Amino acid sequence: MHMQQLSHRARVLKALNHQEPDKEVGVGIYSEPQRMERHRAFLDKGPADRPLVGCNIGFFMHEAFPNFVKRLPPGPVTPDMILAEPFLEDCERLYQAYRQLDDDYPFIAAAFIYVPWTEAIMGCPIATSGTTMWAEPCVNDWGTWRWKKPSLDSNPWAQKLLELMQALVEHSKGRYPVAPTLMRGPADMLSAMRGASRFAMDFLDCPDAMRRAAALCSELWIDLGKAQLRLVPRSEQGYFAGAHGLRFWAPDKSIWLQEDAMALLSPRLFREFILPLDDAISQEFPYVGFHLHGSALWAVGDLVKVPGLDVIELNMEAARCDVEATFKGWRKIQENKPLVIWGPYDLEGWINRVWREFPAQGLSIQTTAADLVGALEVKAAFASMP
Amino acid sequence: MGTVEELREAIINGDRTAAKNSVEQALKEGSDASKLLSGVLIPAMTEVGDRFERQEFFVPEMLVAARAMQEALAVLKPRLQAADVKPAGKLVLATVKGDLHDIGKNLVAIMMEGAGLEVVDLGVDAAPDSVVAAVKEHKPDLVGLSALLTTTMPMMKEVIEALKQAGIRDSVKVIVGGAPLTEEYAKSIGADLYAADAASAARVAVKALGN
Repeated sequence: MHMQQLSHRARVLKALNHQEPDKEVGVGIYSEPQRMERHRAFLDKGPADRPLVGCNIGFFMHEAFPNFVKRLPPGPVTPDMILAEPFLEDCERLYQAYRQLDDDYPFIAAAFIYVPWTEAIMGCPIATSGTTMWAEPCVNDWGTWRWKKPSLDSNPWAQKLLELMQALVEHSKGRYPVAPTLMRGPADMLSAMRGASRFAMDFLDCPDAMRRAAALCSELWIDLGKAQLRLVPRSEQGYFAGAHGLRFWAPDKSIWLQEDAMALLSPRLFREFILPLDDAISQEFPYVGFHLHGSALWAVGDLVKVPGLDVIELNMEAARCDVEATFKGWRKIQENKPLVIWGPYDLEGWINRVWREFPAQGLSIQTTAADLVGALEVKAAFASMP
Repeated sequence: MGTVEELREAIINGDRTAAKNSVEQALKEGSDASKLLSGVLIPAMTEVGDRFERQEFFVPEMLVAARAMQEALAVLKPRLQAADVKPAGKLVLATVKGDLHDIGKNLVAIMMEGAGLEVVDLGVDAAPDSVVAAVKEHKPDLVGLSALLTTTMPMMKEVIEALKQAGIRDSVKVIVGGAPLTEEYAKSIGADLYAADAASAARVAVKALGN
């Protein structure tokens, strides 16, 4: 059955029913063999004359998606407020901007990544200030919480996410890749559900409840990831994961995982409660990238040993804190896995040092600019690197 | 193990029930409330902070230790007030406007209280005006400002400017901290003190107060 023969709603329903709704769709960038060869070499940690480089256009949600954001008043956010039309307008503008930029990465679209989707599906109220969105706690007491995994068929946030993703697939018409949205993992979901302080203490106060809740979050994560990947049109030329920021290509369907709240745990608690779940998640998907912050450098040694994590990204944090420790973390990752570095643009600083000190094999440097003009400047600067 | 040692261990291990029981027992045995505060509770939290800096303790251990200390302190408070025991200093503490992250600020509050300071916690998303009002009302020795986001860091400077405009900047020392901050940034916005983490915040504050 070809893409045009199915209605928007029918495709979402098929994805929920564990079926891939559409046949193959070609995406422009995949037809450029030289460019794709660089991505393949990155994943294989094969020979490369330079690292992959990319700059995303707009970092904050109001920079990247102004049409969408201006229709979203500050305060509580409900699924019906997530409007496809202004979002697609922003995606069209971004797609055109990325075409002009024409660096190593294409525009990759995903359902509005600033919504904390997994937390919302688990029941957290969502709110926005106009520049950011966040999830508020929804579990006051594990003893009285409804221990049931939300159903993607009936959860309004899950429905909205899948509808938005399908709208992107249709809007793309094969012009740009569509990928799963940013999905925070079990630790982040639990942290949002309980609030950061209670989350951290719960692992000591009620470890059994946390183990059970984390497993439930993990199951939801896997369901949601798979439902989104079923909506991604099949492509013989492979798939990009990530959206408008962290990105990697793989020959099969791929997804990013992150656990920012692990920074609030100890290595022992992370290893006991969260790492086994991340390991299990990674085995459910063909290719998985893991996004990591400098606040959890202690986890690098554990993460590089997880066989199902194919790519690891470690940020250069905006404050440039723990620079030497971050470099050490990057080295450790690159010894074991393809390494993505994302950080604020600083050519004379960390970027120059990485360029000089790190082998190009299995290395991707990604940064950000507020707009296309800035991104073109970044591209020109990268091109002038020796 | 004596009662006082049990109290110390209970706080360090984050055992709130044992902390409450031990402090009650110590009082029954005739211990002085102010000596328990200065000689047991505060050193126990200092030890917790030291272990945090040595990466023997992490955020969960620090939080449960603080909770145990709060339980013990609640038992002592009526006696401390009756004896007119003064805190080592007073701090007005806030996460700045636009920033809703509270765990860093909460950890600072924990360590400041653990160091014997009275903390007036303005919560998160605190506007410059509310900080100025709190300084006028509570007359603190210190104002602590926390931010987790690079986008909200500049609000710290706005708070300092608001204190200047209100004519009360010189009445307080401003201490700033948060993941994206550096000492250079703290200096550049006119803060008096910078702390890289919660444990060092308490140490820096105590030193600044000359205690």
